[in-house]
Amino acid sequence: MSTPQPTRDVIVHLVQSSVQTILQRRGIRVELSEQTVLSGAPDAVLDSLGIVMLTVEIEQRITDYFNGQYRLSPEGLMAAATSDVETVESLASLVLATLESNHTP
Amino acid sequence: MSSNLPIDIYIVSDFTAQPLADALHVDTEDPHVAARVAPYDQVVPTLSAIADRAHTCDVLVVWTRPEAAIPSFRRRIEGDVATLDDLTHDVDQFATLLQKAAKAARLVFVPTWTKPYFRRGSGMLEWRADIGLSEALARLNLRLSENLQAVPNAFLLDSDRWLASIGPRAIDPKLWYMAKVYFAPSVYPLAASDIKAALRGISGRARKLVIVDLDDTLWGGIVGEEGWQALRVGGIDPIGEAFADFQRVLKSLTRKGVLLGIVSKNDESVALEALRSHPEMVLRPDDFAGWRINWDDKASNIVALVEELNLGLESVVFIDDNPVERARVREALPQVLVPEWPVDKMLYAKELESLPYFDKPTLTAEDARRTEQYRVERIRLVERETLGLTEWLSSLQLQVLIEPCSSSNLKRAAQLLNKTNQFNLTTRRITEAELWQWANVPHHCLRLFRAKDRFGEYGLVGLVSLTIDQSVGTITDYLLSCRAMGRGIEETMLAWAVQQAREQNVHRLYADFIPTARNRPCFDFFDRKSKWLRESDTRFSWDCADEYGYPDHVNVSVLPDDPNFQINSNEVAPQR
Repeated sequence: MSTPQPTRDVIVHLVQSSVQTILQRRGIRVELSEQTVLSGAPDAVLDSLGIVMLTVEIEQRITDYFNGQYRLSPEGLMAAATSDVETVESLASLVLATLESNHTP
Repeated sequence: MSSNLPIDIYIVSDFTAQPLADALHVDTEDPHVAARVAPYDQVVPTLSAIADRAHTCDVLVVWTRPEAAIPSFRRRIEGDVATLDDLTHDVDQFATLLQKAAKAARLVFVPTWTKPYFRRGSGMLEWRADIGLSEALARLNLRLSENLQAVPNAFLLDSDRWLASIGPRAIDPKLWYMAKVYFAPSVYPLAASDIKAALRGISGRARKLVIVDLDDTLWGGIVGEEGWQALRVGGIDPIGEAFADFQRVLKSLTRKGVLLGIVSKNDESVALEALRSHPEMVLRPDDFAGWRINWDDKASNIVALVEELNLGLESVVFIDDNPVERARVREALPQVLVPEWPVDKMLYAKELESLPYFDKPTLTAEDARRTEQYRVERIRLVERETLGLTEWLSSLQLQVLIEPCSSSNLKRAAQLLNKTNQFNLTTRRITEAELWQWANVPHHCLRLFRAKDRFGEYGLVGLVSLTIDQSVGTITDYLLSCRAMGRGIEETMLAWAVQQAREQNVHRLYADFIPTARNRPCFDFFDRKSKWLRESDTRFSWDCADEYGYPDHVNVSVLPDDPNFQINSNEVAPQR
């Protein structure tokens, strides 16, 4: 069985569904788009706890989706996610770049 | 907890517990709650503040990790010596804190201590005394449970079940190291669901009646087509075994006071013959409080059955394998809980066992006898139809015993207060401890009413309490189990209340009705049958210059108000 490749569409989908899960668990209703601000701005939809939970959720989904062939380090992702204003789109780009640099075939 | 205000829940924990507060808010089931989280890892100071009443809360949830709450357990994790005495000492200290906090909170929930699946500990020595972590953990939880037995408003919640249903990901070290969140996010909704189930049970909102369909729900097959001999129940047959197990789970509910009913499209005689004749049928007709087996609409049949049993639709869970029937009942009767039901029959028992709608804070002798009481009631009602009301009442040979609140009936008294909805003047919901405290205040007077007639025992079915303030008396609680309504016990309770008021020189006795969605029958009784003066839409009164006599057909006995008096049997005292 071949492992799927981390395309931008796949990663955006995984990030978006992770964000959706975290928001649902916290009872936050937001119309989600790639431009939704997740952190680093007053209108961000997640607080610091939400960002931690999001990064762990994304890491888990990436591991599951790519059968362990691609891995993320949630603490690295969290450091990046909390240092700048992050949107769904920019977080997805960050995840994609990290996966590409970390990939061990 | 009967008002519409959200229930205040305060979560005290040694890990980040915000996800539990979020889960409690997100959970759409009753009741509505407002959850707050105490400062992180401040368990002892927070519990002490609550015990000192420096901080107040309605419901307290204390969720800790054993390695944090019990120093000797931490030592054992680290391979150091921690004996059973050490563990016991530490648990007792922790339990003392909980006991003190429980005096200031209305309810306390404590999830049991657990350990992550990956912690192998000492492997084959895990269950050796003084060595194993699993052995220690079991002893810790047992000791905590023993300590909390004497605290009627404190309950342990089974956290192992939550973790087991999530599996290996239930505890995620990454979340712990990054945010001090000990459990995975998917654990908290399960905890929230159990907390809400407990709150529903305590406030009398647990479901009381499970109505089942028959064909392919209670048994495998279509009885009208195949005959009862061909039905799949028990036997050496995986499906038959699954149906037998499903019936066993239903039967176990009846022993906890939940009634069973049948609503099925079938010929009644054919269906009942199957229940009576199939050799491996676990449930027999006497296990059901009532049934509507005909070809009519199921929603209408549910309404009729619920009326016959004097219950409300919000007491009902309806189980049917047919999704069309489920959708129809959901649409017609939104108060009825209709769970989604698995297509796979081997999952029926599992599905029923997992429903969080039958929790109760106590189990009483009345609970175990409830189905039998409804069976007897059916016989009574048949006679009422034949004899007419007046002759029927006279023929009942009804005896009512009026007894003070004591340690032997306190559980049942609190259960009555918290479960009775329809015939309930004020719907006051209080815990056992609060009730005992209330009953022991001067100028408060509380009595319980136990009844039996020639058909059998009703058990403790009524409660009246009064508050006397010089010449003015007020009925604080006045409630009667719905299955005992309409045979003169209501009047007997009022007669006792008036007699008490007269003996204490009260001039006027008041009954202030607090309307709820379900207690109209109590209002109607005061308004139409009691002869009390209706002073306003919510107030009735009685001039205590006049007596209010006991009904002629009721024999009344009164137990003395002796604080040392213990009731040793369920027998009603001899007639006057």
